[in-house]
Amino acid sequence: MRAIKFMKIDYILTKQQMRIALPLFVIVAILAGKTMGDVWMLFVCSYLLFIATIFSTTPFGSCQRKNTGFLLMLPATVAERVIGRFLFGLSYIGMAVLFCAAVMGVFSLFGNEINMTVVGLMLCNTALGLFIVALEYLICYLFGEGKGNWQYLGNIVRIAPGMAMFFLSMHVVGKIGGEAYAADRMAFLSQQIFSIGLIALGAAFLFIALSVVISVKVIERRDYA
Amino acid sequence: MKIIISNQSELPIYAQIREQLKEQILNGQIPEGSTLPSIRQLAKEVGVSVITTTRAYSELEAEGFIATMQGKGSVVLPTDNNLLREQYLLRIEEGLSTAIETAKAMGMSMEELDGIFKNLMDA
Amino acid sequence: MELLEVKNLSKHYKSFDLKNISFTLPRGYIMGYVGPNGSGKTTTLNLITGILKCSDGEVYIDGRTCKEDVRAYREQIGYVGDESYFPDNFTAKNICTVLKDFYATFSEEKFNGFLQKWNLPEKKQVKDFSRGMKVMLMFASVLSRDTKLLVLDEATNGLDPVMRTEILKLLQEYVMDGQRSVIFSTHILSDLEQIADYIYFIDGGRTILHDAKDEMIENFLLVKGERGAVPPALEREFIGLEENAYGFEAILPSEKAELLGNAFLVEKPNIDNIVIHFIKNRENGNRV
Repeated sequence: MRAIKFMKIDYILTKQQMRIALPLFVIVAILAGKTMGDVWMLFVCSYLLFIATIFSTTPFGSCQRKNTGFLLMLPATVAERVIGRFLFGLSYIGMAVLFCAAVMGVFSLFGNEINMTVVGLMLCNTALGLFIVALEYLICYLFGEGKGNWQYLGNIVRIAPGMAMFFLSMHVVGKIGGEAYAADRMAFLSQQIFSIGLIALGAAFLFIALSVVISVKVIERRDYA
Repeated sequence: MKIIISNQSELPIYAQIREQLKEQILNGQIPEGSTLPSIRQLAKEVGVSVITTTRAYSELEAEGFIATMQGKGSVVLPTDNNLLREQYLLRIEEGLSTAIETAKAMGMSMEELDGIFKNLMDA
Repeated sequence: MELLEVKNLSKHYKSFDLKNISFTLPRGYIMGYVGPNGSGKTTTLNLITGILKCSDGEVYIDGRTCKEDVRAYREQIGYVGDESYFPDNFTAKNICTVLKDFYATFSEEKFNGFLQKWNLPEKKQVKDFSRGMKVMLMFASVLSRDTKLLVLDEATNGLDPVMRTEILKLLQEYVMDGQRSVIFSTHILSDLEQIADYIYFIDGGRTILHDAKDEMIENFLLVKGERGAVPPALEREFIGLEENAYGFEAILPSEKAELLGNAFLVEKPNIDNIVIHFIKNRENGNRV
């Protein structure tokens, strides 16, 4: 349970960011749900996840060794501390997903039917988001945390995977939206995309578990707590 | 009871405490049968280490001024006259030997010193 | 079982070695851990709190090592560093929240009591605190829960005399019940010297002296005088002979006092005198 307490600490560490993140989520969600079609909704979902992956790495930036002695000294194991940090990252993805759901809710409220292909693609997108957070965290724990080189590494780790995902989604959206996509392949995709999404989600969670285990091992072997 | 620690004194702090307590016990300012503050209490009040006050107390105990009983603290014992006499004698000797040493250092003769001594006694 | 037991503690770095630090600190006593800057004081204290892993040796607090049970081990330590170890954007209120979450014995009432007593704002970010306020906030955070050992790393550096006196009293109150102990490191002893029961003195990662403070002071004499008057037999026994144009100052082991005669001024040293002359001694030796 101390992991959750560590997640709470990360929320305190990043309290200023919340003032930006929350309104941003709300505005994007409202705008998207109200005005756009289902393909655009997918775009919005990617955008929300993109924001989430960026915001989720902030606690690493505030973790120089000098000013976190208080946290390192807390009576808890390394695993609890690391899991807490991962929970923080995942909670941001969770928030993005929640807002996506809200977008769909608003969307259907305006009398539109929800396209299951889009839902499937959203699942894939969420899986990708989870995967990216786990990867970012792994990189931070391997090279960044407390070593002082976060400043250089940080911005790359923060932006790059999110950007990649963002443009990938754009690309997919463009493809599906475009006429060029063959109808039969489109139909196959529609049938299978939901299960693909679920499998992707499962794989993402496995990857998270793996990256937690590696991170804990790395921090435990480190010279200081 | 009062204790004043001097950092300039050549006497170690435990000895300062010991001497001041002894003085006050001998002249009755700390009456027999009264309980001294605990070692830790005294250390905190005076702002010195616990080991220092412990040593002061155990030396007072060895010299027969106080007795420390488990759970009761340190109690001032009745000062019997022999002990008192011995203490005062010791102090007189100390004072006189300082005078003699000083006299020797400046090459004063013993007769001269004796003269000063008698003058002071008459005064 | 002593409260703190340090056994052959060593830490190897590329450019620095802390070697074989061993001591015990009984319940209810205060130890001063002294040495010049870079002598390994902070390293030792970090090894004691378990924030740093040792290369060799063991630290037991109440018979327990950090490896055995991190939580129980850390619950009983209160640590105050020379700089604020709180995240910059934390407020006293945030700190209170975290303490409440993690320490079963934390008392919010006590914590707020300290904030009020020391005029510490509840909602200001730590980074906007003055140095003195930061130190007092660290003290508030460790004194508002039950601990057995206070570890203070240069905690009173740069504090004004009023605050130092306040902390002195706090430490003495802390060990009052005879169950809890304090270890503090410092490179200047001054007022802290009086309340220390034991002194551990290191230089260059090695133990130089370790004794009860009163003993240590009695074991040495501070000798001053005219350089020309020093016979070679005496000079050999001097530790850290320091000369100027008009005279010298050195430390002499008390058992060599008979070599002195009447030609010198002999004083009772304080711990700073002893430390300075031992360091001087090392420097003198290096020059040869």
